[in-house]
Amino acid sequence: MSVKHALLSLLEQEPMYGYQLRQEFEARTGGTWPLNVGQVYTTLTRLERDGLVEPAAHDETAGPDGDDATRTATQTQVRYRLTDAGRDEVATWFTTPVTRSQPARDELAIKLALAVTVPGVDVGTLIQRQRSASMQALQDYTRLKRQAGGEQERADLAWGLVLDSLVFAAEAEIRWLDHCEARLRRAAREGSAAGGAR
Amino acid sequence: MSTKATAPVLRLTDVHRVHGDGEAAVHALRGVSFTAYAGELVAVMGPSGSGKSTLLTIAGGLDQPTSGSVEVEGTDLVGLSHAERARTRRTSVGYVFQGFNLVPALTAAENVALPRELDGVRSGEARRDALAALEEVGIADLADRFPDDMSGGQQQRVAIARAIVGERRLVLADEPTGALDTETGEEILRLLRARCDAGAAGVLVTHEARHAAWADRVVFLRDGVVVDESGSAPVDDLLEAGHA
Repeated sequence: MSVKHALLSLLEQEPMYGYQLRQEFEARTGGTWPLNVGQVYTTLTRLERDGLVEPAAHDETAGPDGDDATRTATQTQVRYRLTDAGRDEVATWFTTPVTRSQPARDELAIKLALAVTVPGVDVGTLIQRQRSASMQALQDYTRLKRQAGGEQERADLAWGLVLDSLVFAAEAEIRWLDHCEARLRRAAREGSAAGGAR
Repeated sequence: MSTKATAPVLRLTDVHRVHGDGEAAVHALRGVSFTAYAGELVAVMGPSGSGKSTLLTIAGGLDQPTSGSVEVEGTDLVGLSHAERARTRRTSVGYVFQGFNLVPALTAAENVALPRELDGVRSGEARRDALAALEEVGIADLADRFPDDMSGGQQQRVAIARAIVGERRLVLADEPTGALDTETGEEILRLLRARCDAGAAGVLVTHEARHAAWADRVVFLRDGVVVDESGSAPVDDLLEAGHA
């Protein structure tokens, strides 16, 4: 997950403090990927170094803290805003597809690939246990969706979409497990038929 | 023995269903035991041919098991005469099908009122019941429309209203979201869910995990046998049969 781009895009909305960025991020994603404060400040430091953000000037900090004291205080009291380069970076991020070079669910795929080749593994049970576990996760997400309810707030809508993403991913995993099971059963049938013909 | 406070609305015990006989016999169900309590939505998942639709038709008294018992609100459907079974079916059980199965020549309200009128309820009262059910599924304003003048999602809402009219306690749904887009399908599941939260028992047959996830429990069926379940379940009630 790109913390860098997430923070930059939040700053597109308005200049913000570090703690605010963290709150805003979690409001939109329902705390699915919690950010720690340290991570936020480290990232901001790097972004400032790279010229993508800068401390906001007083006239742009609409809040009451936009005086000289803020500028000289610790980082926690600095409100950041995007530079032009930062704004370009956000625009590029939103118009570039996410690369899928690292398949997300490789542990399960690898486990299954090994299970069907290593002798003595009960693949059917492995699949069924995984399916039950994935189904339970899917039920949990669905319960969260039911509780989420209204989508009047933009951030609620965002959180609803994040939940949908988790739901569709879990569903895809279960469909894939069903598919594996069907293929393995067919292979077993064909295997025993070939064995009988010999 | 179960110590659950609520009584089971549906209880299948060691149900077998064999179609045909001899060499050609097909075992659709092989000793399935299954319980749905009031206030609970249970999903049955399985590939085609796993027996999930057979389970649903037997649960609703549309088909008879070869052996085993099927109790709806404490009455064993197997022991009933044809007429008695039809009566239980009308008064206790509601169905929702993938294809909606509405009568095209009747309005939404008339479609929903139909099972009440078949029960012998006077038509004024049947219409009042129908309007209440349509209200519950959020389409009271469409009461006088004909099915052809409605979207798929609206037609399925009418079908759900028909399935719950007159306080039926058992709602059986066979792929009710099959022909609908994901968002409309979700609204249908919300309605089923709400009906169960209000005290009905629901059984939802589906091959879509995303839809099954709306249930309290998910029962997995393979080759006519319950292989597993997930959710907060009284496991002893579910897996009694096991493999033959």
